Amino acid sequence: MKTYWQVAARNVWRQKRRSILNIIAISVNIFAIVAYTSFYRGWIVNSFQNITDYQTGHVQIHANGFLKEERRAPLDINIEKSLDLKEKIKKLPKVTAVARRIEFAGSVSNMMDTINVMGVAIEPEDEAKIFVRKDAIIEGSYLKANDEGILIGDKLAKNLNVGVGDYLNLYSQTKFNTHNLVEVEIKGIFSYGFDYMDKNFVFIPLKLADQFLDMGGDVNEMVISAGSHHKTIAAFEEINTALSPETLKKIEVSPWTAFAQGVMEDIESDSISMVILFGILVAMAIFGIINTMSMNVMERSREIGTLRAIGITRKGISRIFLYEAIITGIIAILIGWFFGSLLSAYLTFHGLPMPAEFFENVNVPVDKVMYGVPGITEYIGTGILGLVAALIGGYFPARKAAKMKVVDALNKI
Amino acid sequence: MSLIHINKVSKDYHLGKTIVHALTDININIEKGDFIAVAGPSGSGKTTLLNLIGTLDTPTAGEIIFEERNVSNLPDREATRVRATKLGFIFQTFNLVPVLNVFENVEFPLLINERDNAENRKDVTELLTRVGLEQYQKHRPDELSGGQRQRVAIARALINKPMLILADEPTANLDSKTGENIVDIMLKMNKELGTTFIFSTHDPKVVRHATKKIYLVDGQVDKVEGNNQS
Ligand SMILES: Nc1ncnc2c1ncn2[C@@H]1O[C@H](COP(=O)(O)OP(=O)(O)O)[C@@H](O)[C@H]1O
Ligand SMILES: [Mg+2]
Repeated sequence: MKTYWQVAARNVWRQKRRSILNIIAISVNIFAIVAYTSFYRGWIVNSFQNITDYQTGHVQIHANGFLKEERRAPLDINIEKSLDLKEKIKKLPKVTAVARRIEFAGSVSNMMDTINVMGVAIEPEDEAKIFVRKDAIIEGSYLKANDEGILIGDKLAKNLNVGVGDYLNLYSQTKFNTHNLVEVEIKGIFSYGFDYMDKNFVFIPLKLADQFLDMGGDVNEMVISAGSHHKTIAAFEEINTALSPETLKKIEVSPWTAFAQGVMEDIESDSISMVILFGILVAMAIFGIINTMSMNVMERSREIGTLRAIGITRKGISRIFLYEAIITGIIAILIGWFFGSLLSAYLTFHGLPMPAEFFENVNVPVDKVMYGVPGITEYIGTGILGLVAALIGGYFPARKAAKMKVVDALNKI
Repeated sequence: MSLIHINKVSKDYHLGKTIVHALTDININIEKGDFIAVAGPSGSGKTTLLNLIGTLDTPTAGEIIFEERNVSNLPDREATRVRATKLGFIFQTFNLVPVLNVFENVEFPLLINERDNAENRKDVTELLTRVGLEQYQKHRPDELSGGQRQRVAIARALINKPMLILADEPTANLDSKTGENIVDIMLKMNKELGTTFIFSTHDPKVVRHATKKIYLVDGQVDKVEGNNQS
């Protein structure tokens, strides 16, 4: 024997059925939080990876005022001396690649149907160093700098009923607001697996766009890779210190997170919903513990009275019940961790294939199979949560036990 | 000097608007080494008296002097301390801790007083031998008969070497033979260890064993028999 802990442990064992209920109530939460956090972190890491790989790069540069009007993809708010700037930034040690681009609004037509698209004019080789472009091609080939060709998504190809080698008419307004049209050959068809890209985007070589849009060598966007999205801030800060104040006055340097605000907001609101959901579940678990432990206290009144009579203080009584709660909590935490880790490991190594319908509704580029990314945080967090829940759940019954009058407690059956 | 001096003690219970006079103007002296029976019919105030002496309850009037200290209105913490160090309790329903085995039940009060060391643990075995339960040390209470349980309770009450042991109807849940055996064991402990005992009973056969007898009727001392009464 020797300690109150052992007495408490045996009481947990004595009241097996109730203890098991309490343990389940807590461990189910811990299990769910551990597994869910791993899954959700994997989700976030994957979307960040894909957003930067497919859409944003790590840092972008625009002329002042462009971003405010980005919706109309203005061709008249351009980066001054973009080639010089590109060469300068390329030399920075934390920058791995720089590409110039023109974003433009346009439409493509197969002579029967016309569909509005987001056009992006790219320097094919540099673009491919920053983005997953070549590997996204599922048919045909990637662009070359001198091609009079276009890359379109598989969904757009389907909607237009066209394939590699077919010709499309590409319409847009030039920098000087005149209408223009160019006939382009479909060189390749890409698929990113989510509709936002595969339905709406087209890519053409910068050289072709320069004539077609009458840009006179200007571009409205520059995209920079820092090697990995974790290194974004380092590269961002380096660019800001390397460029002269005069240059910085005319441009806006933005980390990719500025272009992923929708995703960031989604993450935030998802997190809040999960905190609320788990908060409710944990509160229910706490009420369950209060209930079952109060029953224990009532049933053990005479034992409490006896212990008080033979000289245990009020504190000692509440300690016995609190220890019982803590032991329950610790068992629940270990069980929750164990099963949570199993599911988390399964998600990490095997992954979870997402149903096809899922991709029709998301505007975040995530992979078809999501993998978990476990972290120590959820274990620390659920450990604390489990203990706190057990302590709150045990506190009220323990206090009730401690407050009993000895004679009353002894008289209860 | 008496071990305990009960001085003009009364205890009322309020039941709604009616007042129950459970004890009225009780005056008793208890000497060190006494082996006292508090006898009386059900409802005569035996439990109330023992609870007051045991600092489990407080009198409505009067005072209880224990070793020259007024213990009738101690704060909870100090009353608990008195019980832990000076008093032992034996209950009608035995009240052993179900999750502890026989040895651990007797050992438990040592833990409360932070006296749970190897030396004192020898006393556990010794006491269990005295009450004839040395072979039952590893048994759980629910594996014992009523008489055996009560003997464990006696050993538990004695482990901290108290001045006084209070036993409220210790034989009421036992057949009369076993009950008398329990009183014999208490008497033996009283003689061998010098511990003062006060036990209550409504069974005249049990009263016989006491060296001093206090008869209660309707919350008042009807008569006192035995040595050096006051
Ligand atoms: N907690 C209580 N509340 C009200 N009345 C009580 C309480 N405890 C005892 N009494 C009353 O006090 C009287 C003495 O009771 P008690 O001391 O238990 O007698 P005994 O132990 O001799 O049977 C009885 O009339 C009983 O009903
Ligand atoms: Mg009684």
